[in-house]
Amino acid sequence: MTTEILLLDPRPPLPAANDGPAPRLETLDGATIALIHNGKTHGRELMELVIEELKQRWSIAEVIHVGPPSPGYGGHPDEAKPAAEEAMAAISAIGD
Amino acid sequence: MYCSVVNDVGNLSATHPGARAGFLSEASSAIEAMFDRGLTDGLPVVPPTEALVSAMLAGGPWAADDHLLIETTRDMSVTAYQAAVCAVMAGARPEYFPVIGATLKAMSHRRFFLHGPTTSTGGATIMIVVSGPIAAKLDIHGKENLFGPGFRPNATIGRTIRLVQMQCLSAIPGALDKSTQGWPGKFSLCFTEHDEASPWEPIHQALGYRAEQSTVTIFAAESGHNVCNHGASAAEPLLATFADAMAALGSFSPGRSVVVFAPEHAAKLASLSRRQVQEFLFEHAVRDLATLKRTGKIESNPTADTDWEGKWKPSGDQTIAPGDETLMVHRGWSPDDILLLVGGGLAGGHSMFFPSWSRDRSVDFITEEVQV
Repeated sequence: MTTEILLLDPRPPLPAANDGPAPRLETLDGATIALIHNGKTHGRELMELVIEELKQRWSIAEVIHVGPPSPGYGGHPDEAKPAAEEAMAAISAIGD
Repeated sequence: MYCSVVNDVGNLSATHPGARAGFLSEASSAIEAMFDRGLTDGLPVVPPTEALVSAMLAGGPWAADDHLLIETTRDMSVTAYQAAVCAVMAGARPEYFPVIGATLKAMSHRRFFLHGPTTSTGGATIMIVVSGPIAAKLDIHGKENLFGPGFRPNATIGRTIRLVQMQCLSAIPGALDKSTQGWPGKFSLCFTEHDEASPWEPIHQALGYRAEQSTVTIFAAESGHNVCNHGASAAEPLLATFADAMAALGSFSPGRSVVVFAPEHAAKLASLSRRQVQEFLFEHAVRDLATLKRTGKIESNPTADTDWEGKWKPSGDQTIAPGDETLMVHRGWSPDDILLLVGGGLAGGHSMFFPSWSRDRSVDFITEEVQV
């Protein structure tokens, strides 16, 4: 005879079905873009190179940099508010 | 497969909020069933039955749906129930649960920035230093082999924390946990001080707590460095050995440090206060700026105004400037960045220096009182 036992699972509930990617802009002309880096040395430099490339193709209105002064600083939600309120698109990358 | 997939077991989810429902397994293969589900840290775990989890929860002062851990970066939380399941899996006893809960609360502090040391290439572990009467009550070990195997509370309290990170925060190696190499301390790093061999008061009293209180102090630690010295009989040459280890280029940073003095070393420091030792180590754990530049240890940080002492700008420019050969850069920002403990067996001149996670400023020491 087989004895079964109930085992518990500590993991959080499975996330809801993904709704897919956020809506994409048709053009970056006139767009305000947030560049989000992780505070590591080359994260910001990488983002600068990316925006240089993009500026050759589109007339980007404004760039907002978001990133901690060091990867050991968790930041505060208020620090991301300007980007959240003004940016029409965001680019995030991790440097190391 | 060793388990029957039953994701809707009665009202389990409602009874135990925060976690997924359970699943049925043949009793004889429950350990393999846990492996099948990925519910492991690589070692076999104790199958978490309802009875064991209920007993674990009863060991602490929290209700099942109390949030013990808040992780703000990803907006996640861990309930007492989830933590209790992990504690059972780790092999912890219910009386350890107050220490586990206090550790999770300490990890929630914004100054600890848990997401960083949990996910970073640096591969940090959460060091847990238990201080106060509860350490003796639970037989938490602080003597021979305190960082090694052999002691259930040391092994299972830290293991619970790692299981919480892996299972409840999804810090799976290669996915969210991007540790380049990691280190064995990520399985567990929990210990107490060898109070009887220490020339100083227990660390919780040094931090302002009363003798009868119990605390956990956590630290995001990279792997420890053995500091070996059997010949120095005076404090100064002995401490110079520690300062040299702390100033090693491989782990040099403006971050924090933990030094655990072996009793043999601590005895030679008995004429000094903890503060005097902190000040000596801060003063002598230094490198000249020219060496740091030559070895690529000065990275560009455009958002920083100055270095951690206000003497130079971390521009990333590696050009040696006049004065760089004599401008000494300290490890850390102040003596307060060096936490001093005493632990280990009575014999042997082997101590340990643990550098902080990250090549930069690191996250803070956090202390939380244990609720019994």
